[in-house]
Amino acid sequence: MDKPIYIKFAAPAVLIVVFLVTFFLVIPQYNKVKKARQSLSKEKVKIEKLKEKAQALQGLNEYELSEKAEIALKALPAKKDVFQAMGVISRLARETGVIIEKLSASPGEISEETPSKTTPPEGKLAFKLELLGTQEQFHAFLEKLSEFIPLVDTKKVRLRTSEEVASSEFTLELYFSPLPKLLGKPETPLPKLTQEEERTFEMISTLSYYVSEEALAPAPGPSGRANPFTF
Amino acid sequence: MPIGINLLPRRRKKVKRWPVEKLKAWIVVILALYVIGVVSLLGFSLFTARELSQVKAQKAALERKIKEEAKKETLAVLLKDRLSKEEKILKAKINYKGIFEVVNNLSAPEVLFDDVEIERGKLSLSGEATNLASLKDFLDRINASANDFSYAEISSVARTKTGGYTFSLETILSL
Repeated sequence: MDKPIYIKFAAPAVLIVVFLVTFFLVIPQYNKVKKARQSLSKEKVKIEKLKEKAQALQGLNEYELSEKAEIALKALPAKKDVFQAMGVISRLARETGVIIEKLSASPGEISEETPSKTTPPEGKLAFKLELLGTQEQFHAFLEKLSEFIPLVDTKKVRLRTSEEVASSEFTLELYFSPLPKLLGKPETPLPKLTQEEERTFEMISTLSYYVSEEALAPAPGPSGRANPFTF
Repeated sequence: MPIGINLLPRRRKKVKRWPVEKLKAWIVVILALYVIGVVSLLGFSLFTARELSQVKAQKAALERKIKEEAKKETLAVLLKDRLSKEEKILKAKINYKGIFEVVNNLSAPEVLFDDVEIERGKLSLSGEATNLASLKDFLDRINASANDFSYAEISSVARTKTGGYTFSLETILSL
């Protein structure tokens, strides 16, 4: 007795269906699930980081942070301010009793903030200073230099006592640094201060910040004729 | 000569064949398992997609929360940046007061300085000594003070009309 025709073709039909389902449904779906699981595990890691960051941010006091950042920014300003720095040096000289014989600075480029890749991480504004006074006054001047912010480094000191009045030469460098690239990816961990940095803050918070009187005082107007071609 | 022919009757090996019904049953079982597998895969795929969307929603909520606190983050980043740079600057600072104190402690009344220069970790001293012995003694004391100076050398020395000696001395600071 002959079998019905559908029975004859049942086996090949099932095989074809299995083949088609495997290639067009099972394999793509498997790859999709595999990718989704990988993505899921990555997202879970990110979520953990985000949770940590959100928690850390919640624990921060905005007012305290703002106060600290202000002091730190005063110690290392974002831009070079030649007038303020010169005013501060003049004030220090007055306080210590030394006489400024010469004070010069080379501010360099006009640009104050150039956040390009070529910008060095921090800049220096160099001053050359010649003073007259006694040795004690020079020492006091040097000491005072390290007691105020913005931070100034003394690169060269020369004390001469051979003449009648002792003189000294200083090469000072005032630091400044452009602001950092603020805020990265949301999952980037919140930067934490190291113990050394905490100590640095403690130290700089005890230093004085001088507002240059010379910089604030109104200038006594330029002298000379307004029009050089008239008498 | 005997020939090795075995004339004894031998049993024929029966080739076992699977009955058709049994084979069909196995195929049905395999097919059923396949279908169960495919359905499970689809179900798992749906479950994963749902989980992923939930995780993404949670992530978006957290990101929003962090964005709301952006000011705090900005301040924290700024503070870290400033303090790490300030720490380096302060570490690199030369303690001039300490250097002058050390030089004063090492000097003797017979050795007077009229020019002291400190630049790039080098200390240059010029002055006058009443005699060579006191100058040599001063140089020895500097060289012995290894914590403060790593190397000292007289760069020039000359006798004056008054009988004293003018000198120039250079040393590398290790303070």
